Amino acid sequence: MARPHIEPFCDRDSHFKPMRLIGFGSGMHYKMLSMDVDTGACSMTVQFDGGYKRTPGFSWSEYEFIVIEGELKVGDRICRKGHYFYVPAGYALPEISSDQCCLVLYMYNTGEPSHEEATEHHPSAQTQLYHDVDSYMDIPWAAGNVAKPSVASGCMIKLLNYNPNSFAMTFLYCMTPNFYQDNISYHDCA
Amino acid sequence: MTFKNLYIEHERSAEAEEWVNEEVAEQEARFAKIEAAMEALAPTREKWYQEFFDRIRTNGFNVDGDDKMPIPDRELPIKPAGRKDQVVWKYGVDSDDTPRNGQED
Repeated sequence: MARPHIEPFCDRDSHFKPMRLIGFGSGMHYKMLSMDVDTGACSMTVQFDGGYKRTPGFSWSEYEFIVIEGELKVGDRICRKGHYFYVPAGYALPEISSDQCCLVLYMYNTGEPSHEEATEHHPSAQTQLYHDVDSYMDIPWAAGNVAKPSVASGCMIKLLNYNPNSFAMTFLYCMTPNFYQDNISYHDCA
Repeated sequence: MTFKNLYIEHERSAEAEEWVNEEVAEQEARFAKIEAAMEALAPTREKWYQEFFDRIRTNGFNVDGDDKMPIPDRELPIKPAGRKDQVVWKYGVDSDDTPRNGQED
């Protein structure tokens, strides 16, 4: 159960497709970045059209998303680029909408995208794990040497999520000008 | 809940099944293109290997952070005879004849 190896993939070379799965409504378009062909877990660049609305509800899979461009309204809050969400499986988010269109990076980690309309969390949801943050404004860049052997200096990270169940981590990375590291590494993860 | 509580078991709808199958077919086509492109790169990759070996012999290999260690010639890897580079590992398995622990049966 893993995603096959892919090379760097530029989504500008592919077109948005309308999301057909029930629950997501109309006005959601996506580009598939990678997919676990066993479980349907996937990462997608998503565009919400201006006027898009999705009902409150939860997913059977845990998922993460970060606003890339534009404004996304989640309940009463307006979230701008850099706003990150970790949503456990079964956690009911309020209605989401976009007045003027926005671009969002979605990661469904353990199953295909799904949306069950609900205003209450599923009884199995681990609600305590939910969190969201403006990652651009409210998390400082930190040195990338969180593990040994570590990366060379100049690689900075923001830790967006650490899952205590799976130990999976989600980062933002940036490299300073002239960052250079000469070695080979292997990441046994999707 | 499932293993590590990351997913709630449910019955996947026929519509979702169809969507996943269509996406999987597109992914398979994408992997085939990547694999072909990587095979076409084989001669260039040989050059990259040699350039990398030259650098780590002289400038050194980043072993931890900014610490670099020159690698002596005797520790450079020797390409196994009769083995072709494979850059696509479908489902996390190196190849049909190589178990994941690297040990032959």
